[in-house]
Amino acid sequence: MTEGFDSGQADHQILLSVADLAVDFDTESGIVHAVQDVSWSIGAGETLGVVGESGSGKSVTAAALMDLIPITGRVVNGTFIWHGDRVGSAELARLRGSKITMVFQDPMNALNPLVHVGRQITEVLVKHVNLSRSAARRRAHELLELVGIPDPSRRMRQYPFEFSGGMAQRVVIAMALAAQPEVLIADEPTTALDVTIQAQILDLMSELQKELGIAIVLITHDLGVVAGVADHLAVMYAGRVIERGRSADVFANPYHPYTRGLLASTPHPRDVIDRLVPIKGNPPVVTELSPGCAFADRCPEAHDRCRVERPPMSAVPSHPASETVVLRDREVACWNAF
Amino acid sequence: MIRFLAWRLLSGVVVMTLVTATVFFVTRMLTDPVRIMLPLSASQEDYDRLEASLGLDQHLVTQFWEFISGAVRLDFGESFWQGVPALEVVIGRLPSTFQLVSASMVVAVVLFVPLGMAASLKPGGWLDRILVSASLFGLSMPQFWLGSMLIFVFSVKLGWLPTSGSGGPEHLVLPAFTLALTSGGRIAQITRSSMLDQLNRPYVTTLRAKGMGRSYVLFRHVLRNALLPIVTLIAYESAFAMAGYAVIVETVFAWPGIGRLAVQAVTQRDIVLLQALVFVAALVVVVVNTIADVIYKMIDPRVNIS
Repeated sequence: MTEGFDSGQADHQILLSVADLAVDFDTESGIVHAVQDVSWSIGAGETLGVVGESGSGKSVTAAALMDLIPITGRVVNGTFIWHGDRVGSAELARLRGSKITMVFQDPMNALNPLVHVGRQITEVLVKHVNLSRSAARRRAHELLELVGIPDPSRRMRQYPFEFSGGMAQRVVIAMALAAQPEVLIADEPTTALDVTIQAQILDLMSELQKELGIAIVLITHDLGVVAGVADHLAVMYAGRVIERGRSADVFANPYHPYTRGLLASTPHPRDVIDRLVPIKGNPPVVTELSPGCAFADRCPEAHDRCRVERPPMSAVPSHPASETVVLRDREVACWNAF
Repeated sequence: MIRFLAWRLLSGVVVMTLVTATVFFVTRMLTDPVRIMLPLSASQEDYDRLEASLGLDQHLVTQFWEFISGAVRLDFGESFWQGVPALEVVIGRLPSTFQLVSASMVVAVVLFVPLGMAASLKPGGWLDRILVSASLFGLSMPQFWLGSMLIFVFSVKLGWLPTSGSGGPEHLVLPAFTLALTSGGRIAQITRSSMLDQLNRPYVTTLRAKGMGRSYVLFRHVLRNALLPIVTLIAYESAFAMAGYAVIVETVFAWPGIGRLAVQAVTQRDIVLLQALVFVAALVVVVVNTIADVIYKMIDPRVNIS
């Protein structure tokens, strides 16, 4: 199902791919398949938006990549490809924190409250870039300037509690950029912030991306967040990717009823629509999945086949009117799409 | 910091005044030291004479005034029992208790903080389960029994260590361990739960995502955050041990500290000595708590001790 990632995005050099990832968690009510058959790839300098509601498995994918799966969970399947080569856990561990870095949801808690902000940046440089302490301090100073923190020399000697949420997230971003990563994974980077600050942080991330050419994996439940910035989208539902494509295509012509529902339930600043349409029902509990499509119970267009047989991810034209199917460019897992 | 210390000094004075006043009145109301000091055959005149010589015939308020004006000058009067200034007797015993308590705290910290840390790394693992039940065992074991058992095994059976008394460092081992084992159970438990709490904090996830090594994360970041409740407990245990908890251990091992002195003062109905003892014990508690607060501030910049 996931062979040949290069074919669809040939115009970009593929930097990182995740293929057939499956993660299980042990819970009191049995094994939860938090993520199954998840594949995505990202090219240099691109932004990939991974969208889904809570529990869809969007963060688990990143956690698997960063070896942050809690002890109750484990990766049961999956391949990671870095610059065209399959990487094992040892190589991945070397990339982690240097070439692949991460920004988290809650910046105030993502920093150690008892350690100077400056040292939390310099320790990355000392570890991954082999800088001396003083060189690391100079570089941390530059990084804080880069992410728009005024008066870096003073700020470096302060503690996280002396920072506002937005400023703390800038510190976390500076920390993530310290070792000059190629891929930055941002897991709900704006969710914990005030609305006005959210826009600032997103702008900062786009600017830095242009300036430094990093690829960004933007994980969010908020379509509004990815709308302006993502080149590609992967929509997740109940632990699986159910639709994927260029961001513009997905927004313009969503195939999957879930994606359509998600768009209809998201306010859009340009089109003033009469009312938001919620998706009826709740996401399924991932322990009791039917053999069919996980969305079938909530789907207005579901028919008998949807309930008994799971639709595979299949290539579709970039939009329904077009007849050309570019492989890997646009995929959807829905029987109604073809 | 200076404001804090001034505030601490003030509240310390209040605490110590209240504590010593309570002891003053309680001892005078509950016992009649004169009756006990005299033989049964003593006459009323003997009684009156002794009472007058001890100053116990005066009105309670007058006595209290004299006591307070003496206490301000650190003069608590002469011990009935030993006939020397009471404070000198207490201070003479203080180093022994201090030695015992600090030795036991060092043992408890060195032994049980790492144990608690190790247990927290694998909650539910074999070490964790052993530690949880063993520390419960340590907590529920009465010190006099634990002390007697240690004497039985290490002094009587094996003959490695002296049964009691003081002198060389070998005398310190058993009483220090007896104290350490009971405090240690609590210290290990607190270390474990504090570490567990910290290990689940988001900043630990960040550090792992930054690719920092496991022991680096543990010792440079997590331990420091986990330290506050541990310091609180160690301060509490030391203050408590010095101000009376060591009574049992000191008695079992005939260790010449203030705990044993307190027992002697009570059996001798030496209320002057008892007052000086309580004063010193309260002072120790105030000082230890102040030190703990200063350590908090050093560990956690968010702590506002003013």
